[in-house]
Amino acid sequence: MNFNSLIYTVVNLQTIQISGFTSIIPSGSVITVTMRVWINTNPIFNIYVSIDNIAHITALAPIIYGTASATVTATPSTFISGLTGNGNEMNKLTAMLDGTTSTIYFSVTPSSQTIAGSFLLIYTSANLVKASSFNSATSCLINNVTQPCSITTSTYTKIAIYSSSSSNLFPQPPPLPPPATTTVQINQVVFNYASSHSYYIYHFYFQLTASLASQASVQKYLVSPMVVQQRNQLISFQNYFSNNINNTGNNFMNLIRLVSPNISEWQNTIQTYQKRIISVFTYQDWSNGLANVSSYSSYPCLSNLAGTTFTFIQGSNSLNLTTDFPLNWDRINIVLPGT
Amino acid sequence: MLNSTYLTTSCVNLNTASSLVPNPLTINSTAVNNLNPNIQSTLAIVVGFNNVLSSGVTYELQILLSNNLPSIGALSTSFEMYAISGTGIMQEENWNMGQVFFELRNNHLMNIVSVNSEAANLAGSIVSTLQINIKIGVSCPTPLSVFLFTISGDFQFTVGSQVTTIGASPPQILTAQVVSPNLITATFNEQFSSGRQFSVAISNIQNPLEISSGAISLYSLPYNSISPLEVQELSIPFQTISLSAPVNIYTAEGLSPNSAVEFYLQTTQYITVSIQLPSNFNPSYILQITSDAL
Repeated sequence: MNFNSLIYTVVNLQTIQISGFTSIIPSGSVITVTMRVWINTNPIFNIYVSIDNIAHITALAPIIYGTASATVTATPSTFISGLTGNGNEMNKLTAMLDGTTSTIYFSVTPSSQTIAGSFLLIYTSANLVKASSFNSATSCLINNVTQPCSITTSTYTKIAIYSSSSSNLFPQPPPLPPPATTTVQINQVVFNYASSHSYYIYHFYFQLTASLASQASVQKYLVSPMVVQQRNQLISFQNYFSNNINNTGNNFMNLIRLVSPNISEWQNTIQTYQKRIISVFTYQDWSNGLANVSSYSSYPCLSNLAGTTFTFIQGSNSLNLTTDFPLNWDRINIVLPGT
Repeated sequence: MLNSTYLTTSCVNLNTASSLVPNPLTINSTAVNNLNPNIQSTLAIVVGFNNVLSSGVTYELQILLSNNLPSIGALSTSFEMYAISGTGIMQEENWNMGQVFFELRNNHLMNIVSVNSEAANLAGSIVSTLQINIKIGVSCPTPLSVFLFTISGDFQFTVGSQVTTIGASPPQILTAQVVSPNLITATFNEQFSSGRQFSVAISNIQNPLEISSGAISLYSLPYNSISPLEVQELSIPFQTISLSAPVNIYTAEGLSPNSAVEFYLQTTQYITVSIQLPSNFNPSYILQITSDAL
């Protein structure tokens, strides 16, 4: 199926519609839709699926209908903060796909007192595994001191950090005696894949239990960080505001030429479903130059790489755009062929 | 619709003339009385063609009635047809094209013991089977008994629709005929008496490819008669419901929620909705997902 043709319409906060299917999906096929949601109903929420043309859906008479319900039981506490990874970016973990391993950092500040035997369990996707270099005695650091921990993977991955029966790794919150905040560092882990909007989403389900004897006082928290692929610096990648690489001869100032003469910088393998995309962002005065092209339409570019496509995506006209938030700028997505 | 040659013809509003200056093709009392004073103008249909109908060529004219049941108690025992030129000259006529069912209504309500049509049929499942258990209340005066079924809505009988009887000693069906997509008759080789009970099944009823509802009527008649003995008129529901799609909700990791991996209140998270298609998903379709919680 050509997923690029799909159109997602948010009818309201509780309804989305997906259209733009280009071919018949045979009976018996399974469609999966992964959505970012905020559940506000306790304890049961329902999902209703309607499939038909818009008239029949509007008339509440779809030819295909299904429903399912699920129970929501967890109310998040706020005892986890500062989740970062190798890139040291908040809620963003780096999948080191070049053979090296990834690291996870975060802080624990229990919202209620813990005592000896307190322990922290983290459940996450099975696509997070321990590296062969992982050492249960040394790979995890609590307040910069190595502590025993374990990582096991089955249908999901479970990271366990236990206090001993006589110690308490996760003490009390302030204003009780310090240390109120416990830093945790987990080294030698591997993300098998980086996240996309549909695949390889890593929920981190934190469960902090106050003591071995007090199973009832469990605090829960959920973080859904983006796991981004390891990013290398394309040192040789350059742009020229001219039609001539050497900036000699005739120049055409309305052209931008992007050149990457060192192909060794592109040797890292990307994953299935992934494409290399060069995004050229424009900001402020440049936006006028792109305004004559409809958003999501082809943009006039050429490349010596056959099969390269160029798409203009119109950004927001907000005056509050900053260099820290470029996703709303006008941009040209240059999708390179192959993997 | 002109069948066989599949000619198309334009439609003309023939009701524009006044009663003082009737158009010969206008449907009003004056124009209709010129043909036959016994015909009611409300029961006349005029069809105009934009080309000359050739002699010796077989044409088929299908008149689709929006309601093929008599809502006023009677239609006609005879269906008449006239061919008239645009200037009002009668070219040909046929006063006895045949019967239009039902001359009479009565208040004898047929006893439907059970009917499977109340169990909804799935839209898009192409065909369905109707099965009705009947208990005769009014004895038939003729050696042969006749049942007539009609179906309304977007449902249709098909050429493959078979009428069968079910039971320990079911009546023998002498003949059965699909008269039209909305009408089927069965003649039984038995003189039904009051209290006779058996089941009748009609197979291969064409379902619409969308959610729809209709109704089935059943008339019990003497042989060679259009006067029902007892009826169930538009009172047997027949409908389609949505094809049921199994839906499951998983975490983004594709796991069913459990004590360790579960859904959270009031925080941003991802869920995966899995939908197993019970029929083909056509490109024109839209997939809508609604929740009471998101």
